[in-house]
Amino acid sequence: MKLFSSKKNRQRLLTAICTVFVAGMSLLFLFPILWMLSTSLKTDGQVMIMPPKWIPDPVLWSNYPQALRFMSPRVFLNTLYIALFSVIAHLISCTLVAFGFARIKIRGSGFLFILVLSGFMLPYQVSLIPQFILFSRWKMVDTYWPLLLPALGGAPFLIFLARQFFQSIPKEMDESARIDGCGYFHIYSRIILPMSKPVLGIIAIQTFMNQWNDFMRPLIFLNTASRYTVSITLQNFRADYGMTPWNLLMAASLMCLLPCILLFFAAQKYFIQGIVVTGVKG
Amino acid sequence: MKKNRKASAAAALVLLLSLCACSGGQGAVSSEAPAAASSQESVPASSEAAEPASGAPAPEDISGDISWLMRSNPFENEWEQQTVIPKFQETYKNVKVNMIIVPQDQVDPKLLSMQAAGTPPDVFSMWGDSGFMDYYNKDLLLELSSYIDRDINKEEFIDGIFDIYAVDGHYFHVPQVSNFSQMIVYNKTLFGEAGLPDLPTKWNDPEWTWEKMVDYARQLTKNTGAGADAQYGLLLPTSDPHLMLYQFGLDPFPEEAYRAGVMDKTNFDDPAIVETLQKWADLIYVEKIHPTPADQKALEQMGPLFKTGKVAMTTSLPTQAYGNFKDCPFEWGLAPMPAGAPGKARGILYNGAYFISKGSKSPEAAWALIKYMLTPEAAKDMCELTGFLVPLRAQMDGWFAQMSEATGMSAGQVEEAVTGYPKQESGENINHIFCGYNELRNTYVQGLDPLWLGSATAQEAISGFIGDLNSTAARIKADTAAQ
Repeated sequence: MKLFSSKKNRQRLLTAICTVFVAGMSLLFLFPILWMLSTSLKTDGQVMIMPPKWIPDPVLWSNYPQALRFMSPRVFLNTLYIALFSVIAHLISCTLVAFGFARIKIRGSGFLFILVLSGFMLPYQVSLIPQFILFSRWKMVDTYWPLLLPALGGAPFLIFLARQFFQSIPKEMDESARIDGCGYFHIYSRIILPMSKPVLGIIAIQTFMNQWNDFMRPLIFLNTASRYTVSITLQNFRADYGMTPWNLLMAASLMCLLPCILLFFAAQKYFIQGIVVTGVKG
Repeated sequence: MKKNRKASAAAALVLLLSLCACSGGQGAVSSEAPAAASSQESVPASSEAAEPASGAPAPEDISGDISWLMRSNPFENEWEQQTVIPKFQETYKNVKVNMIIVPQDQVDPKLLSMQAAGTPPDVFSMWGDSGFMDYYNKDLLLELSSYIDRDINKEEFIDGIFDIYAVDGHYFHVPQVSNFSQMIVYNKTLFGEAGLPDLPTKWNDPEWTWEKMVDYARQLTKNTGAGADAQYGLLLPTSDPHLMLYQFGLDPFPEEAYRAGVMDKTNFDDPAIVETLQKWADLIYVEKIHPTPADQKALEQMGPLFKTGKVAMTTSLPTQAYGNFKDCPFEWGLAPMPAGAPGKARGILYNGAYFISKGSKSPEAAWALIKYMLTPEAAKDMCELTGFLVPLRAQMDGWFAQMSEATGMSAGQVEEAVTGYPKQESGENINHIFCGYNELRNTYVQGLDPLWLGSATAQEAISGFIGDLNSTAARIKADTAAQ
C-alpha cells in the first residue's frame, strides 16, 4: 500500500490501467481487420473450418496477386479519378456557397439556406431516379459524368458545415479587407479560405471517403466493366450457392482499404476533427 | 446596391434550385446493392430476318452488338471475359459482345428492367429466382426450334436434355449445363473416424434408406449445442422440403403443376406429408442430430455449413459440391438420396438453359455465341473452371474423371451415383418449371418456420399457412392465364 501512497505512483498505476484498457479495446476494434487479414491468407477450403484458425497453414500470399486478376489496377485509377475530381469540386462549390450564406446577407437568404438543407434531409436514393432520367436523356449513362457533375453542385451537409465555420471567423477581418479594397471574391480567397483549413480538410476527407465507398451510383450509371469502380468490382466477387471465394474477396477488400488507411494516417488530425465536429464517422 | 443584391439573390435562387436537382445527401453510403435500373446503350445491329437463314451463315456474314447477361462469379466472369469472348470474336469478327455482370440475386430485376426498357439482353440464362415457365409465360423467349434443327445435332447431347423445357415439341432454349440431381454429400473423414463404411452409389439400394441415414447420423453427432465444437450427423434442406418428401413417394404439389406450371391448390396438408415433416423436425429437437436454424444461420454466413467440417451428411448438386468442396481439407463423397419408402428414391434435376430474348435485334449473332459455348473447347474450359457439365456426351468421361479426383471415388462409382437416378420417376426441379415459384416458396418456407424453430408441430404450422399458400397458387394460376 505504501507503493501507492505517493501521487506519482498512483499516476503511473492509473496510466498503466488506461493503457491496458485502451490496448484491449483497440484489439477488439481491430478484430474484424485482423480476421480479414487471416482469411485473406487461407485456402478456400480453410476459410470455414471450425473451430476457426487464426494462423493459416499454409500462408497463401499468392491470394493477393490472384485477387488482382479479378480487379485490374484500372479499377483503382477509375475510383481515384472520381474521388479526386469530387474533392476538388466540393472544395470549390461547398465553400463558395457557404461563404455566400455566411457573409452575404440578403432578404430570403435564410429561406434559401433552409432550401439547401432540405436536400440534406432527403436520402440520396430519392434523387437517383430523376438523376438517372436526366442523364439518360443527355446520353451520359455509362460515362463518368453522372458521378462527377453532381459534385459541382455541392453537398448540403458540407455547405452547412462550412457555413457554420465561416460564421465563427470574425467579421472584422472582412471589414479590414474591404477597407483595403477587397471585394467578396478576394475576401473569400485571401481571408476566409486560408483560415479554414480544418473545414477544408473535413470536406476533402468526407468527400474522398464517400466517393471511394460509393456503390449505388456507379452500379446504376456504369455498364462497361472497364469503367467500374472498386465497390462494384468487390461486389462482383460474390457468387451464389456458397461459391464466393472469401479468401480472395478479403484480399481484394484489404487492398481497397489501403488508400483510406493511408489517408487516415496522413490526415489523422482532420479525421478526428471531422468526427468531433460532425459526429459522422463516414 | 439594393438592385445588385436583389439580382444576386434571384440568380442564387435559380442556381440553387437547379443544383439541388443534381446534388444529394452526403453521409454514410449504403452498401446495399440497389434494385437494378439501367439503360443499355445498344447499337442497332444490321437488320436480320426474324426467321433464321436457311443455311447457317458464314461467321463473317454475322454482325451486330449483343449483350450477354451473366451472374457474378469471379472465376466464371474472368473466363468469359478473357477467354470466351476474345476466342468467339476471333471467329465472328463483326460481332461485339457486351457482358453485363450482376450478382445472382439481382439477375431477375436487371433482366426485367432491361425488358421493360425495350433493351433486353440478347443472351441470358436461368440464374435468377425465375425459371423457364416464368420467362415463357411472360413471352420473353425467342423460339429456337429452327435454329436447333439447322445447326445442332441433338445426338451429341445427353438423352432427353432438350425435351426438359420443350413446349408441345417447340424449343425455346438450348441446354447450358447439367447439374444432374440433388444428392447426399458426406464427409468421408468423419465417417472413417466413426468406423462407418462409405455410402452406396446405387440408387434405391435396399441398404440405403432414411432409417439407415438417421442411424449413421446418430453415430456421427457429438457435443450438440457446443457451438464450434459441435458435430452434426445430418443437415437437410429445410427451405426446400419437397426434396426429401419426394424420397418418401410424397409430393406437396399436384400433377397439373408439373405439366402446366400452375395449380389450384397444394398438397402440404396431406397427413402423410405432415407426418414426414414432423419426423424431420424431430431430428432437430428430439434426436438433436441436425443443427437448429439458429446454429445454421450463425455458421452459414460465408457458405455451406458442410465446409466447416462439422456436418457429416448434407444435400448438394454434384457440380456445386465440386465448386464448393474441392479445396476442403477433408475427404468427401457423393451418394444417392436415401429411400424414405422402398424404391421411392428419385432424382431432382437442375438443368440450366441459354435463352435468346424475343426482342433481340441480333438473333443470329446471339445464336452464334450460344453455339460457341456448346463447342467441345468451351465446354471443356467451363467444366474445368466451374465443375459444371455442358451436357455433351463427349464431355462426360472427362467430367467423371474430374469428380473422381475430387472425391476419391472411382469414375465408375461417380457415374453410377450421379446418373443412376430412376429416369421415369425423376424430373426437373420446381424452381425451373413452376410459375411464380419464388412467391410460392416464400409462403411455405415462412409458414414452416415455426416447425423448424421448434415452436409448433407440423400440423399446427401447416394449418397456419395452407390457406394462404393455396390462395397464392390459385392467384398465380389466374394471373398466368390472363397474360
